[in-house]
Amino acid sequence: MIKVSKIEYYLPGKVLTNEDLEKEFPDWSSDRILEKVGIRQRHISSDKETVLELAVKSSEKIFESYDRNKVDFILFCTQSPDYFLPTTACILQDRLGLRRNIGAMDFNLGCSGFIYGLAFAKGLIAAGIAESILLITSETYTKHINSKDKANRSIFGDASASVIVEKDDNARDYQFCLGTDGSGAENLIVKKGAFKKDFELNPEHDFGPENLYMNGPEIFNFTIENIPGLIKETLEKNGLTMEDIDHFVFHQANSFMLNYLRKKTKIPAEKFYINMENTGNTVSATIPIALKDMMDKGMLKEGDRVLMAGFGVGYSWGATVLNI
Amino acid sequence: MKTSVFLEKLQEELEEKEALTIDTNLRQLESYDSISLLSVIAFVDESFDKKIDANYFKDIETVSDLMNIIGEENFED
Repeated sequence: MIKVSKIEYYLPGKVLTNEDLEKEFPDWSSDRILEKVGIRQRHISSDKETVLELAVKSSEKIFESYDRNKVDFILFCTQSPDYFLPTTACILQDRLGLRRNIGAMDFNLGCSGFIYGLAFAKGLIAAGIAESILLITSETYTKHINSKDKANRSIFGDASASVIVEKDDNARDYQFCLGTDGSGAENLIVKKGAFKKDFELNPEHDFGPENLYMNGPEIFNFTIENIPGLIKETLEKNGLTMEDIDHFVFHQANSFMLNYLRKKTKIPAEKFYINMENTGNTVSATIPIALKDMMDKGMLKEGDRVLMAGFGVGYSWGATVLNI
Repeated sequence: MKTSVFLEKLQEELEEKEALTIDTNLRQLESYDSISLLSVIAFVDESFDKKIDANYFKDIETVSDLMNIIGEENFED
């Protein structure tokens, strides 16, 4: 049905290391950050580096070896857009010099965004609406984070990933499992910036209403409750067992959470990819970044069967399988 | 679980050098921070198959507060 035929990503030039954080927050140990969350550094966008600018960079890398005139749809996932309107994907069509007789739209999702993007792309292809989709997950969460928020500054980094999803009549038709639970909305949220005015602040943790607020322990509880079931359901729906999967690539949230989910789901360590050392948690971009890194390192070979799962803000989650 | 075993395991999870007692104030431990809460959640889920509502953490000061939230019935002397 579909295949992901190209993957590229772009990271902003400015780097924030654990040592930089330790200098700012003397009670914060750089070794402990690395040991617990598995992150050594993250890339931080400058004021001029918006999700659109990052997306231009990651997409131009694709077009070094892919004919841009083939693209007939742009799907753009972000939660830190340049504007309320117009749609980022529309501006990107012009910036990339893509055809004008193509579709383009943004969608607002976080850590589940890449899986949802693949689901939309499959739908567009199955319906005969598009054949070559440029799917972009571009995120600059660090713009949402208060400079005094050492916990979130330790975790999140900025990045843009671009992939091409194409129609492939020879590819197996894998199914998606998607999930939503809006009761967790308050646990990962930026309250101010849009049009709701009567929000309440959580006095214990909120830095400011315009800043990212994350209740880490509750997000962890959410993943413990939902992700093992999601993996089981995804395998069952596709008629597969754990042994049939070559690699499990989860949203790279933090290494502590991933290690625990791996143990709980009983996935063998050698099939489970964890690496966010140099990028941090880049929200919807972590899965394509992981896939690209695995390819570059020779860990992911053509035809390997990968189970991917994204989960987070919303709450929203999703998983699917692809031969990469 | 035996309380003594629980105390040893919790000490290990929190990477504390000193032994813990039920009266140890967790918040005064050097290593107790936002990352420790994740360790406690994972430890309690794995050992007791129980979820700790994150809102309870603001009420948890001592080891015995944590044990009360896990439930007295899960411990033996």
